[in-house]
Amino acid sequence: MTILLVEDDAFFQKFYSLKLTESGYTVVVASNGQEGMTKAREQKPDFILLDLVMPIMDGFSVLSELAKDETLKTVPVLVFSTLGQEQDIEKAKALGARDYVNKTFFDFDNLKSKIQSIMGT
Amino acid sequence: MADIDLSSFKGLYFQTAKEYLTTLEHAAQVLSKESTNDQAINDSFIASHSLKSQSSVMGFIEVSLLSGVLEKVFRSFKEKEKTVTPEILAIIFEAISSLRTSMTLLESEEKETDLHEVRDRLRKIGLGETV
Repeated sequence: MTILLVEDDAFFQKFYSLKLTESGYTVVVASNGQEGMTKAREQKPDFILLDLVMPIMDGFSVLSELAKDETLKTVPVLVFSTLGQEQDIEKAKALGARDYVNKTFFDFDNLKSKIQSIMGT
Repeated sequence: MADIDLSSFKGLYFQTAKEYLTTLEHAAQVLSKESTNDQAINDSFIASHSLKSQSSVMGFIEVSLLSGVLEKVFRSFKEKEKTVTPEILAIIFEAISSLRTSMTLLESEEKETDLHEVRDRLRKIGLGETV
């Protein structure tokens, strides 16, 4: 299963790509929304992990673009949040995000369980 | 938080945290000349958000809390709820300088600096909150 990780922060990129790879997922990394859309179109991932606050193109714009793309609109998206982003989470869900995790908790078991639940695996 | 050994992330933390501070310093300089520069406001919003997030993971609570208030201030500029004024900018410069000093101490002595005084003034002047 291929997961596209769209996250601008090198610190979180390293942690989550390492843990996802250790768990047997194939991970494709993008450092901003624009790169994320390019890689999504090229790689056709099975699942997308998406940060919301990013340079060049933010996570909300990515969700809007994904919804307009016939080949990508059914790919499940789980968004990364932090404390104090409750309104952002609601906005992301309204744009099609399936769920969210607080990325600062570094709780990989919770993330993995949400991915498995959404994917039905 | 999950039980994770964060020691291997320390180097990356300080490297990226210092980059975020440089971004904040540069953007504040831009805003002192052009207070409505959207790029500088957005860059500052992203940098303070990222610094808040990764400092929280590392357990550097003072840095995380002050960065979180900066994030709120820049979000209010980004969403046009507030405008950049010389008074707010002065406390922003002070906050960034305090973060830089704190970062140096954290890296050399692993000691957190109490930043509540500048944080409270930033909340009061930048967000209009009663502290």
